[in-house]
Amino acid sequence: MGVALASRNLFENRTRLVVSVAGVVLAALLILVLDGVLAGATRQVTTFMDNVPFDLVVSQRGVRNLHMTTSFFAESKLREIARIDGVRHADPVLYTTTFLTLRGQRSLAYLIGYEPGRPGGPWAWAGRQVLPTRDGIIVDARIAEDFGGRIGDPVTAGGADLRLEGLAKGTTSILNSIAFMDRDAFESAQGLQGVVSFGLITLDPGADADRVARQIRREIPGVTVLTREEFADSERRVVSDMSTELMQMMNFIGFLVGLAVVALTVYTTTLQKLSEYGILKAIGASNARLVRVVCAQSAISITLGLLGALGIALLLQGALGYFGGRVPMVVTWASVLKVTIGAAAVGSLASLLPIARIARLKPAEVFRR
Amino acid sequence: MSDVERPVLTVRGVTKVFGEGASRVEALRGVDLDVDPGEVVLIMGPSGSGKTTLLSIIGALLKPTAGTVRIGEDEVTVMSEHRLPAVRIRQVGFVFQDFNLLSALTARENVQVVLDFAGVSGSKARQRATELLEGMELGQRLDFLPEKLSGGEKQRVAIARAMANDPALLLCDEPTANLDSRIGHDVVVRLREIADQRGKSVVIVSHDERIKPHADRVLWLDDGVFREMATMAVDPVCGMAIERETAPAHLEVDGETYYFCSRGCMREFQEEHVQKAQRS
Ligand SMILES: Nc1ncnc2c1ncn2[C@@H]1O[C@H](COP(=O)(O)OP(=O)(O)OP(=O)(O)O)[C@@H](O)[C@H]1O
Ligand SMILES: [Mg+2]
Repeated sequence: MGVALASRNLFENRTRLVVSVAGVVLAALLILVLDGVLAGATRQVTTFMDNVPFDLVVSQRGVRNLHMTTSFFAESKLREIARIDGVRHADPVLYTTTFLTLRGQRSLAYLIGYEPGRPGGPWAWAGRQVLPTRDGIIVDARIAEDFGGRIGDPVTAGGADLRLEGLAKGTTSILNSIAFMDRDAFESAQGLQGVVSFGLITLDPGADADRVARQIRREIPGVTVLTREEFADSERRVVSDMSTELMQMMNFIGFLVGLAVVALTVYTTTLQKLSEYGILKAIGASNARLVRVVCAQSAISITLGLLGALGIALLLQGALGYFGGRVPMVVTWASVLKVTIGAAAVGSLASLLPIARIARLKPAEVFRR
Repeated sequence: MSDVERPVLTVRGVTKVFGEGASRVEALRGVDLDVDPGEVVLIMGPSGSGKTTLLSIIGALLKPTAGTVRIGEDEVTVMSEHRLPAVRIRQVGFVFQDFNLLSALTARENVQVVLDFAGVSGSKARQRATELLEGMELGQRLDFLPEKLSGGEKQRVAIARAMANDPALLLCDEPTANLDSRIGHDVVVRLREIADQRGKSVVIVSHDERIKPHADRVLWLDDGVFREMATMAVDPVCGMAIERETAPAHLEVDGETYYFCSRGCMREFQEEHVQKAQRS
C-alpha cells in the first residue's frame, strides 16, 4: 500500500510524473550513450588483434600496442622463435602509422606490410579478395567510398606510390583505418632490411601458450611477448586512458542532473502532500512507513526513467548499427549496472530531504490548520 | 471488575502548558475523565478552552505537561515516542472536521492504507475495507476518489477508516462542522450506532448543539477545566440542555435556580409554579 500510495501521489500529477521521469531518462541516457559510444570505439580499436589469426605477438621490447608506437626487432630473432618447441609458425609483420592519400584526400592509417597469403592481412572484404602485389595496396572500403576511390586509383602511403588493389572491410575505428601492402614493398619503401615490427606466433595445437611465452622471454632478448588478449587490452587502454577524465566528468554531470531533477520532484511532491503525511502520522503511521512511501516514489521515478533510458539507448544502438554509423554504440552490462547503481544513489539522496521534513512533522499539527 | 465495566479511557489530572514567559498558555488545568465502553461523550466549550488540546492528548498525539492518560491497558503518557504510533493505529480511531482523506487514493484505499500500516495487507485488507465501507452504505463508492464524494460520504469514509483496525476508542473533533444539518445528523447517528452496536467509546468535541441528544454525557470545558454538568442545566419545561452562563433566562424559586432555553419556557414555568402554589 505504501508503494501504491507513492505511485498514486506520483501519477496524480502528470506534469510532475513527466518531469521526474524525463529527468532520469535524460541523465541516464547521457551516460549510457557516452558509455556505449566509448565501448563501441574500444571494440573497434582492437579490430586487428581480434581478427588476425595468431596466438602470441612478439614486439620490440616495451611495445605493447599499435597506437602511437613504433616497433622494430631483428628478423633473425623471429627465425629463432620459429624453432622453439610448440611454435607452428612465426609470421613477420611490418607496421607504421602513416597518412594515405587517395583522390587528393588524406586519412590516418595503420600501414601493415605482410607476406601475402600469410597471417597479417585483411580478414573481411568488400568485393573481390586479393593478395597485394609489389605496387599494390588494400584500403578500407569505407575510406575508399568516402573519398570516391576505385580499384586502380593511385594511392600514396608510407612514402610509396601505389595502386588501389582491394577493399577490406571492418578496419576503421575512431582513430584511423588499416591499410595492407606487401612486406617487401613496405621494406623497400621505408628503406628497411632484416627487421620486423611484430611477429605473429601461431602455436601447435595443444601447445601451452604460457610455456612458449616464458621460453621466448628467457631465450630471446630485446622482445616483448604478449597473448592476443594482452595485446588487445593495452590497445583498449589507450582509448580508455584518453577518455577517462571525460567520462568521469560526464558521469558526474549525469549524476547531478538526475539528482537535481529527482530530488526536486520528490521534494515538491512531499511538500505538496505534507499535510497528508501529517494525517497519516496522526492516524498512527510510523516514520519508517512514511519513509518507505517517499523512497518508493523515488524508486518508481528512477525505475521508469532507467527503463526509458535503456529502451532509447538500445533503439539508438540498433539504429546506428542499421544505418552503419562510423562509430558503433554498444550498451554494455557494465554500463547498465553503473547507471543503475548511480540512479539508486540519486534516489536515496533525493529522498533524504523529504524524509527529514516528514520526520520533523508533529502529529498533533493535524488538528491545526 | 469485568471488562465491560472497566473504562476504555482514563484521564487523570491532565495539565498542558504551551510556551513560556509572556506567551505561556495553560490550555488544560487538571482534567479528569473516564469513558466507558459503548459510551458517547460530548465535550463542548468556548473557543480556546482546550478541547482540541485534550483530544490530542487523549489520542497520544501530544504529551501532557502533567497527568496520565490510559487507553485500555496502555498508559500512553509514560510510553516512549516510538511506541505511540502503534497505539494510535490500533487503539484509537480519528475523525476530523475536514475529513482528511488522502486525495490520491480511492475510498477503499483510504481505508486499506491504515490497515496496511497495522500490518494487514492484500486481499484481507481489501475485503475488510469493503465491508467497513458497505457498513457505511458506501458500497457504490468504493473506487471513487475523495474529490468525487459528497461531504457526508467523505465523513463516512473517514469513520470507516477510523474503524479499520477495530479500535476501542473513537476521537472526533468537530465531525459535523463542515456538513449541513441533515448530513451532520446522519454522521452523529452513525457514531451513536457504533457505540451501541459495537461497544466503542466515542469522544466528540463539538459546538454542535444537535449532537447533545445523542450523547450519554455532555461535558463543558472552560478555560482548561471541566465544569461538569454544574455549569450545564436542563430546562425544566422543555428538557433541553443549556449552559448556565449563557442561558437566556433564569429564575430563583425557593432558594433554587432554574435555567431556561427561552423566556417562553420561563413564563410557562412561572405559571405552572403559581398554579401549584395556589393548589397547595
Ligand atoms: N501548539 C500550541 N502552541 C501554543 N499554544 C497553543 C497550542 N495549541 C493550543 N494552544 C493554545 O491552547 C489553548 C487551547 O487551544 P485548543 O485548540 O485546545 O482550543 P479549542 O477548545 O479546541 O478551541 P476551538 O473551539 O476554537 O477549536 C488556546 O489558547 C490555544 O491558543
Ligand atoms: Mg479545536
